[in-house]
Amino acid sequence: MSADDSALKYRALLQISEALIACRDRDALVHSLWEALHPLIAFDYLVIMRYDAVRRLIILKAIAGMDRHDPDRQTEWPVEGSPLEVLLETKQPLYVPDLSLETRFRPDLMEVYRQHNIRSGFWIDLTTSRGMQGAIAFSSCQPNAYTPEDREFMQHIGRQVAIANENAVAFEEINELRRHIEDEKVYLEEEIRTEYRFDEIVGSGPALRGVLQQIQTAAPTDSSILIQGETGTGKELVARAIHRLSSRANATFVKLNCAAIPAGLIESELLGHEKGAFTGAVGQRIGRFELAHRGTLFLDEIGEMPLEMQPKLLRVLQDGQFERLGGTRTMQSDFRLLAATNRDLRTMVAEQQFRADLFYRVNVFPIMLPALRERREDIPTLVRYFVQEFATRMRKNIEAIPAEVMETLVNYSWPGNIRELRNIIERSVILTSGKRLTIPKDDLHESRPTTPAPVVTMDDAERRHILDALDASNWVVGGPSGAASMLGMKRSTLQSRMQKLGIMRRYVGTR
Amino acid sequence: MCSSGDHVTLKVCGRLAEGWVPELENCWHAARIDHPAGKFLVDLKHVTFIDDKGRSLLERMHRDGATFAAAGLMTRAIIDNIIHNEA
Repeated sequence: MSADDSALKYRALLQISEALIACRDRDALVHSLWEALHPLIAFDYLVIMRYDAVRRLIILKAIAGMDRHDPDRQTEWPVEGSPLEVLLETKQPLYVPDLSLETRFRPDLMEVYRQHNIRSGFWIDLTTSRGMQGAIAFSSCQPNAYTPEDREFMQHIGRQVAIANENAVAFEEINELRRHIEDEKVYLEEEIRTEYRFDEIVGSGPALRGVLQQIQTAAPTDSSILIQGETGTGKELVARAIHRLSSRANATFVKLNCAAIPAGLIESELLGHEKGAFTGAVGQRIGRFELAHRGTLFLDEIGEMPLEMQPKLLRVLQDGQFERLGGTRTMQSDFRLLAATNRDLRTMVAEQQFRADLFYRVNVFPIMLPALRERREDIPTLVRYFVQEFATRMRKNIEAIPAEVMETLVNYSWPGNIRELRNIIERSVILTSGKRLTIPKDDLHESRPTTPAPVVTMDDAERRHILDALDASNWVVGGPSGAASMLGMKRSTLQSRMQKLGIMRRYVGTR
Repeated sequence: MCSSGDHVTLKVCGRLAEGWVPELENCWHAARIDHPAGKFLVDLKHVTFIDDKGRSLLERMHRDGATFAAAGLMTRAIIDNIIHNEA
């Protein structure tokens, strides 16, 4: 090496050191290296990659010499059959003077080298006190591109890049955490603004005690829980109690009501999106999966989740991985799923309105909440609790509930359950002018339907009727005890109707 | 907590539930050590909710001689029930 060369390289090292100190992301880092080293070393591509030891993957983090934003470029590779595997085994830099003679690498990787006309390469591990973080690769379209002096110089560079890379990773993590905290803050502020507070489970009757026992049993586990019950029975209250009693209590409880969000927006709400992912996506937004990391995700009204979203949810539940809309980076989230519904998911599975695999994944520990009419013994306590709450809020001094008022409240069927009771008591407290509670008795007429009967189409009614007959016959269609006989029709007619209505026996024992 | 002669008042606000129950219990024990001959009044007028553990503590306090001041239908019903059961 000549004195001029040494001086150039010394200056380049200084320039790189100064640039690296200021670098806070790997794109800037690779750009600085490109600028400083290109006059000194003949390379055509410069790549920084991260090593994911858990998933045994190489992840491309920054690249110079080709289009950085090529959407078709694969950004993750298995370690096996790659230069990084050799680095991990030998703990030495790897020089391949002629890639056409190389036999250790996987064919798909060799194909990438061929596509870019890469003939030789030098890979240096980026190792710090935390172990191997990744590698930097210098590649050339010429064979035998690097002399021993070049490689020695590149190793010096590699040691500095390792430190700069570690700093860049730390900055990325800090930025990610900051974004997460900002989004979590926005979410929690929304939570504080919600109309109802969910603190207490009121009552002590046997039906409720059974539920509380189930909560105590299931909460410390990390299993998914499906909370079922009529509308207004307190499913969210139970979900929050489970979260509070779980090992995730110090992390966030994130809620999404699947029925309250238009079908087209659920995906974006759950997965989040990158800036520009779709019209109106003016900024990056993290989704509920990410918000719930290390906490609990509560999916209310899960029966309303669109069918096309269900396999995506299933994937996240199985391996915790997902991509934001418009993003290429695979995200990881560790959350506990609680789901709630007032619908019969088993029937929905049988009618192919809900995926069976998702149902089994969610229904690990089912909790069925009793309707208020099934725990009438708790109604007096609930009435007193709500009267105290509203009287305090409205600054009224209500000291007694007449016996006949309490009797009316206890005997009413409460189709809307505790939500309806709460609303009636709120109205009653407003209407009460003295110290004794008065209730709007007209609102408690039993003539009103206990459950709204939805009008279904003829096809739906027919489908339900046929499914009931098939269940009763254990899915035997023909024969004297078959479904066709029960329905008073020919076997071929029933089969034709089943085909038309899309009824098939997909899962044995789901109904 | 405030005291006047032998009379000691423990004023409780908010939820008497979960982690707040041992908190009140500690205050109660400390107050009894500081005022061995004291007459204790537990003021529950600003309590919004009492869970099973809170109720059990109030029962123990009642057995140890505490009296209660309550407002609100739910709190009064619980206190009436404790006094009635004790009697």
